[in-house]
Amino acid sequence: MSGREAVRVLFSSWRGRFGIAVLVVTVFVAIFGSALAPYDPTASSLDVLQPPSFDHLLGTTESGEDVFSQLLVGTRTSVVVGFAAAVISAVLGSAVGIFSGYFGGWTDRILDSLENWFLVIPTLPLMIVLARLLDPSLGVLVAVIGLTSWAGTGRIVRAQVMTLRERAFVERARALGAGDTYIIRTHVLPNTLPLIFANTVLIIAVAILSEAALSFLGLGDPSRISWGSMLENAFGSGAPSAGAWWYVIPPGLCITILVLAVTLIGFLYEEYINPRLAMDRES
Amino acid sequence: MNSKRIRNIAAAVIAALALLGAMALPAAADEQGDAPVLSIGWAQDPQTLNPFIGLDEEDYTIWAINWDLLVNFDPEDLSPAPGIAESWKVSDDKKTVTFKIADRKWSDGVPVTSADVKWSLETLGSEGELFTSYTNNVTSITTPDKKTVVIKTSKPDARIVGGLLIYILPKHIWGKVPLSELTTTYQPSLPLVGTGPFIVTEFDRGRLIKMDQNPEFDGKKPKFGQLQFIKYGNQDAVERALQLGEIDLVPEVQASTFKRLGEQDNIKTVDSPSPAFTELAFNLCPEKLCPDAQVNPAIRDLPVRQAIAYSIDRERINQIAASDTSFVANGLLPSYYKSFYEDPENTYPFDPEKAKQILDDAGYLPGDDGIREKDGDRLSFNLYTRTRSESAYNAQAAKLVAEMARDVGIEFKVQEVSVDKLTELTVRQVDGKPAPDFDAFIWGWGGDAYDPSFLLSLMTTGEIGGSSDSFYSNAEYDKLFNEQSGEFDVEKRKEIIHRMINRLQQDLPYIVLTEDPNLQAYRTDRIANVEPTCPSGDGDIFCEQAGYAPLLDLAPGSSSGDEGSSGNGVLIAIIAALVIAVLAFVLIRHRRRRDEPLEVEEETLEVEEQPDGTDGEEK
Repeated sequence: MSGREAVRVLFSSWRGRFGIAVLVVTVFVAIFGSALAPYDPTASSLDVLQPPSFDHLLGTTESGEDVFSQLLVGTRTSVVVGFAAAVISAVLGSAVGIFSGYFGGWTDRILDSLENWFLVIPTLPLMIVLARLLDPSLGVLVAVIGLTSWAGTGRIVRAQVMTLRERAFVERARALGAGDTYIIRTHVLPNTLPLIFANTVLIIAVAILSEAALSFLGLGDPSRISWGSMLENAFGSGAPSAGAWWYVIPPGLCITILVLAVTLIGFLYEEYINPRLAMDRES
Repeated sequence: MNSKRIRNIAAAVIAALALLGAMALPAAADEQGDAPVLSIGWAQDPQTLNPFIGLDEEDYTIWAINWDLLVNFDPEDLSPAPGIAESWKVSDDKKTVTFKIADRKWSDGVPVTSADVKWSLETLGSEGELFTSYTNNVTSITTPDKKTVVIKTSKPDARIVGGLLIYILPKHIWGKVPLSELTTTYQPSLPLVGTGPFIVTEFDRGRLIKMDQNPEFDGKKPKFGQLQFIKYGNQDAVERALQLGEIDLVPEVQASTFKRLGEQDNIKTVDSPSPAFTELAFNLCPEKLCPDAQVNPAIRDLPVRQAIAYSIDRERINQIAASDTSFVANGLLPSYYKSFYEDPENTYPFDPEKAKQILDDAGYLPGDDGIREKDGDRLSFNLYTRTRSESAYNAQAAKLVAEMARDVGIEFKVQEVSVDKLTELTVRQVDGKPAPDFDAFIWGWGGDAYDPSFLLSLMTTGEIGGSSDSFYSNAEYDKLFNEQSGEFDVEKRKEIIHRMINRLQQDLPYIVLTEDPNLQAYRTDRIANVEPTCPSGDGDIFCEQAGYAPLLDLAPGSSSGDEGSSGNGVLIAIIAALVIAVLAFVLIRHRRRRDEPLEVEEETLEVEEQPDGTDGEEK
């Protein structure tokens, strides 16, 4: 799948166009959110838990902070964690998958057990334990999510690599004296990249949700605003009981829409790689 | 040992009782047939019924109903009233008190004797986590006969009558348990033998405590048959349960929801004065006492603390963090103690310009990032506070303090930690010496209802290694403290205390932020005829420390079982819908990833979903 092909796939359906539109807006806000925010998102005021008004587009928090500003500034955390954790997960997953699938034997057995282990471990509790053990910070959050979500990628890549290894062109390269590194670099990796890419896009969604979940549980970076920590603050301050919907709905909706967008793009690529999925859907 | 937790707890615990007493409480006459039940909801329940190891305020709620003190409190004015002792005589030199034990029986029929009193005061008074401070002036406890107890003290101590907050336990049960077990793992068997009007008959930790009437109780017969303390997952759930009518009474309401709760139908909120406050404390442990303390030494510099005091708008903290349920405090002594309170000389009104001036004069000048420094000493401090779930008010107050101090060039890095962790940081020791590991923290204290000595003792040198958590030490203050505790003339004592408070306001080991009343709520349809009993007249003393007496007047309310309405239904539905939407996505995605097995699995699923007939069974 070439770059141009990837773009064509993306714009070929409404799902892709919707997804990319949301992504572009989100990334823009993530970069310029602090500058766009009408207020300092952590500045308290005596307008406590006020409903939306012209002064405060999305109302205020329990400390009189501006919800709209928090939403804008919080975007960055969600995006950074989502993408960074997905990259870690992709690198780890594909490395393990490629080594395991390509070399087979004991390498495979050990790596595969590790992978199985991570697959069956309930991810959220593991993340909670890890995040609790380490001091909460953005880096820790990224690492924890990345380290717990690579196994699926690893499994898929491994299967693909195992079939690739037996293909004629790989055999041919080997017969011509190519080393393992060369084969992995020029044949295996390029042929698994689309798969890794599609999978990684989906992991972004998981990572964003995980960040929100961990922050909601109070395990996020306390010095940073994120959508998850906004929800945590809202619930911690009893905003739902107070009927302060403007404090709960916006971050929840943002998470949902971003995850939806990323997931749609992920599906699109998955279907492109494996057309049978599309047929299932249409039938 | 951390009596802070305890103390706060004591105040709050007693709050439950206060509520009970303050309103003639009736109970919901449901479920239990003819015996009306009073349901009380809380978000934290006792870890144990054993007073030797209990630390939480909730523990006191139960203990105070189950057991008597040697001398109880009169709910009218908190003056001494007969408890286990029916009468007492103080000697002329005020150092010997002779108590006459009343003819009463434990709930298992065994008579109460002087041996029970001696054992409880000696053992619980020396080994019980929360009870050790009361008997430190006691030199001997003797029992000339079964009905007489004589307590001698090294100096006159007003607490012996009317301030000995040590529960009298049945020696014939507790005395048989080895001390090593009492102070570690011992869990008393049920029913919990006691002398109070109700005794614990069921203790399901984390869920429910049931207390039934004590058959041997010979005082006024309670008007309801059972108390139920129901534990909920969090404070929000407790308050929702009150709105829904699942419970009748909430002994501790959050500041943020207090006002709103009072606006609901059939719910009345009560805020009663209490000797409790929230403070910003500093680590002042002198180098020679705490060689291994972990602290930014700049906090020991008086101008820095003065500047912090001027930079903080305490009214703003009350408005935002406490939702205007508290009020601004001036100094360590709460205005609750009316007979001793007087505004201190320096109250540090909010004045950021003055704060900056003080720092400029002291040579602390703003650096590149706006944080002031002098000779490389940056005014950057850690500021610990309890987590939001433990105290939303404290966590929010810490945030506000940091925000306001930042404006004058002082940085506070707020860290929310659990109560356990915070305790660890303050009581930390290295080589047997205190080694506190913090610069500043926000926490609270609750004093004794009848006497300010406990709160004043926090700043004495003698409490370093004990209750002191600012590690303040001042010879003049110590001297004045001893003077006031032996002074029986209220006006003279007030004068001494005023000088002590002025000393503290000068040195600022604490910046006391707000005084915090007890916030409670109950259902008016379950509890009618509400009339505060404790503060009759002035009402300058809250009735929580009054023990169970007010409880006996409570009567069941007019209506019961009226389901309250929930205004949150829509919101909850929306949130649930969002959650479901996200879950659905994840699920769908999972399905997509599977290829062939999809249909097969669906078939299996259908089979599994066949009703198996167990759903209809009642739980």
